Amino acid sequence: MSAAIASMRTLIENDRIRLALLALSLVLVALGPFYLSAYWERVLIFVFFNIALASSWNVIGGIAGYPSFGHGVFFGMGAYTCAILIVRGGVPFPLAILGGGAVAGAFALLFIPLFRQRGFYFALSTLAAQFAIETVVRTWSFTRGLQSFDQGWNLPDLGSLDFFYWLTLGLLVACIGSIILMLRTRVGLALRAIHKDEVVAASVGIPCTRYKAIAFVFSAVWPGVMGAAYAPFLVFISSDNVFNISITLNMILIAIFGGIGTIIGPIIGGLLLSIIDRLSWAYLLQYHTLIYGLMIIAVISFRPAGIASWFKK
Amino acid sequence: MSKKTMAIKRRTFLGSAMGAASMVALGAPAIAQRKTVHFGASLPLTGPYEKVSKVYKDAYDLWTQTVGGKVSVGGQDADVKWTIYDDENKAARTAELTERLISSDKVDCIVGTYGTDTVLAQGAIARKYERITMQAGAASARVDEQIGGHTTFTLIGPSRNYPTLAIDHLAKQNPKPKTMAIITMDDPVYQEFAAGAIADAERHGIKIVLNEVLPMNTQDLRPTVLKIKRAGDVDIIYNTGWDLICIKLIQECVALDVNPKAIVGGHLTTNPVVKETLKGQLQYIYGITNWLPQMAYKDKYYANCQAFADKFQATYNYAPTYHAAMAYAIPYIYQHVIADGSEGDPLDSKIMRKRIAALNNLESVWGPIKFNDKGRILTPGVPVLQWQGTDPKVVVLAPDALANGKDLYPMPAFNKRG
Amino acid sequence: MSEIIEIIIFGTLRGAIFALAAFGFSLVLGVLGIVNFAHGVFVVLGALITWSLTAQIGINIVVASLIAAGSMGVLGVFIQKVFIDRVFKLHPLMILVQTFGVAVVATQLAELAWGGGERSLKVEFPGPALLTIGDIYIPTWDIVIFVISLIAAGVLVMIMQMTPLGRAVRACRDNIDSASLVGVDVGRVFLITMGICGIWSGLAGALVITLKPTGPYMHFFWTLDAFLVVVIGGMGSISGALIGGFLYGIINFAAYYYLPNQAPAIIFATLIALLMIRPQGLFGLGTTVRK
Repeated sequence: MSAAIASMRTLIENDRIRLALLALSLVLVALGPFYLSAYWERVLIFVFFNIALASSWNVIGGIAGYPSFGHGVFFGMGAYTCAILIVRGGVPFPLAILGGGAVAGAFALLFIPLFRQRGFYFALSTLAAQFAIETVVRTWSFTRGLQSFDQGWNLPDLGSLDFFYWLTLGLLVACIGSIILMLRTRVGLALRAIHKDEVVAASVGIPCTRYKAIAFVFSAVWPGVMGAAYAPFLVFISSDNVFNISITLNMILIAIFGGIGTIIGPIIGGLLLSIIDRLSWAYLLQYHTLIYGLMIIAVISFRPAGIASWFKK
Repeated sequence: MSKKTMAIKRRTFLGSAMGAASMVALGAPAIAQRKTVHFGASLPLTGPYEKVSKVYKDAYDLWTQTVGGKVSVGGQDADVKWTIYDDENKAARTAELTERLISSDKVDCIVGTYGTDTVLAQGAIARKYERITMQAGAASARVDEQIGGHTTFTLIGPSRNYPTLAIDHLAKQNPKPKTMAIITMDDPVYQEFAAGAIADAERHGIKIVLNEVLPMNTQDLRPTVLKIKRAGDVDIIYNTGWDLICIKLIQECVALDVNPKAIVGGHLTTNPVVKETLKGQLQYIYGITNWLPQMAYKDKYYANCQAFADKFQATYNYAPTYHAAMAYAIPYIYQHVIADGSEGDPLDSKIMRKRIAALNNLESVWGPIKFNDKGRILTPGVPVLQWQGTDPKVVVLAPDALANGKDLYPMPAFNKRG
Repeated sequence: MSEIIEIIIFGTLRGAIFALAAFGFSLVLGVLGIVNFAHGVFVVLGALITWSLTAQIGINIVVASLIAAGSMGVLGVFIQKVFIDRVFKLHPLMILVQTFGVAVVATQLAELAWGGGERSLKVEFPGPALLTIGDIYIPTWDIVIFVISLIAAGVLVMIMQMTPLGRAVRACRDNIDSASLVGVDVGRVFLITMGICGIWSGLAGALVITLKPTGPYMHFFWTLDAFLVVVIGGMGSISGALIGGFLYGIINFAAYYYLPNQAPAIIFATLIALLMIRPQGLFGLGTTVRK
């Protein structure tokens, strides 16, 4: 086992092989609709959503070290914005996706005062914000649905399963690409400094609040975009299924499971967790939530740096 | 059958069902090759709807036992196979599972899940494949508007019609109730239920003094009951919520000594948990129910509803709620429409859709089956019952044809009972 | 006017239970400096164990409540020793997620044992069911529970003030580094704190199940309620949590009375506002959370 891991490690450390592997797997994944069954295609689309969400959360939660427990709200915002733009406004889908990202980003600005908190208090403030916003969306007649008793939105059929496969894969690649690019700029350096020690970072003249705000808005826009793509994919959305607290938790768990604060972590986490989830669900139906919980405990208790840390020295 | 053996069986019969389906695809005459009929469903088997899901699952199972595991497809016997997944009451999971049931498991008949969001999500996928589903788990009119008729057939009456008979009945009591307070849970199905109750009450000149809309996860009913108490004379308190809301409502009415002339506990007072919790406090409480063993319906296998209820009780060791009869009716209807092979493959969605839509009062333990053009079952009014006696028992009050007792009205005050 | 008085009375009565369920949460936040997402599990399991002992085995409810509370104390120590202690030095996020995992596992096990539905206990109490103050009716049982909660708070205050154990816990709460310098076994204090947290929260559960139906899935509501109480009252202090409980009870009751459908938004917006304006709580000790 350890020998295999070691040889894998040397393989992966070779840059050229790494790039080739990456390109090959990307091509294989992109050709998915040609060899996958509809069911597996749909499963993979969910995996793409999950990875993109966890990667976005990772920017603020993992890299900057501010554990947002309200990030699901941006996904829900994106989904509702898209639905309302399309159903109420007849806006074309691509614009509605942009709208979802824009609204989520704008709402993220409202969260900035919460950055006066840290750690537990920041986590629980953002969680409270999610519950408060969800209640408003659910009860305000403009957002809750088209007709007086509706709870949620019904979208027209905007494309085939293949279309959504390539769309979400494209958005996922763009999302991760933009994160990599952003981390290479001054923002990335500043965020890592803030994570390490905010007082020191501030004392050497890093404008912490500004960079935290940039990171937070950035990590909210992508969930908004993904939510906007999710709404027509699910066709019927309601506050129960797009503002659900489990969406926030999934982002966090995937990032931690794979390796928090790394680019590859959420990718590994998203793939592995959905494989494990489906295996335990298929063979141990009654116990699958239990197993999920045990896995969370096990990873955090014994491997807090996540699965990705196995492949590093 | 335990879940484990269920899982093992699932895997074995998946193989055979896929085999059967691929033979069909090879172009052999479909009917001649049909050895199994594969029923596929998802239910929220884990989580808050675990209990009601179990009733559905047991009812499907009872049907399979009742038909001896075999049904006739176009005149030929075929084995019945079931695949039932756990959708955890999540829309996304339900969509994924429906895709799996259709594209991987190749099920013949899709049986709907429980819950509005999940039924809608399931319908969206089935519609994409031009398949049909039959469901008994979502009463909201949204189902009719979005997927009714072409994709989904619904065996439960619209919730808007739930309260009509009860309010007609209460309006006839002496002294006539003049005011009513309604408790509405904030979800389409309960909002429609409450809208129906308000319209019915106004028709009888009963004034709505309070319509309290509560969030779905409300934990404490005392603020609501205090508000009712302070609203002045309230003759009827009408709960549109589920069993737990009914329990809390009555507990708080007792706690604050709120004594209207009648309390209507809603559509789930017959769930065992209500009586187990409230015991004697359930006395005098009204309820409505979509189905009772006393009803005079029958099908091919059961001479009356009581026979069905007895069989269910004997097999699963608990009394069936209305969900049982309703869920049992789904495969029963499929069984009826696939028996005839005269128009081609009876398992073809187009043929099934046409035949289900054309059903004209098919007899079943759930009552006569006939759908409107939105795929919604046409139902008579929802019967009215009252819990009577110190060890409260159900007495049916309306409609007259089912009535087996008289009202105890108005309800004596909680603190003036022996 | 009498409307407001009624809201205050009923809110305060409910608040006593919220406070009882939050004492442990407050201590753990004050001493260990962590938020335990599995906190509500103590309440819910305490309730269900009391139910089983009383309704199924037929043990007297007072004894059953004490057994349930005691077993939650053991569970608290177990969770601290086996789980939290391992990740204590890591980022707060890890503790949140880990204790969330503990809550998931505990809830799933509870659902296997008791099913996913709700249970409740009815206590036959001698004497009139209702007391009247002017034209206000108050259920006698609510007053009994209120008094039990106050006694439980009093006992906890006495333990904290008068025993060596309580002194060690307070020393760690006030300054963990100096406590360890003067020879306090910090690890042991942590275990004791979690044990106390489990006992008092379990007792809250035993009382809750006599008031309203309780099921395993409700644990998260209790965790959030406890957090709200502590944010209002201030962490680490028992009297702060008690007053926080009363205030939260009143806010909660008033929100569900006046604007039920917006109540969650009102309650959580209040929480955020309080965190922004006065993070140490209205009656906090001035210490802020370490991490």
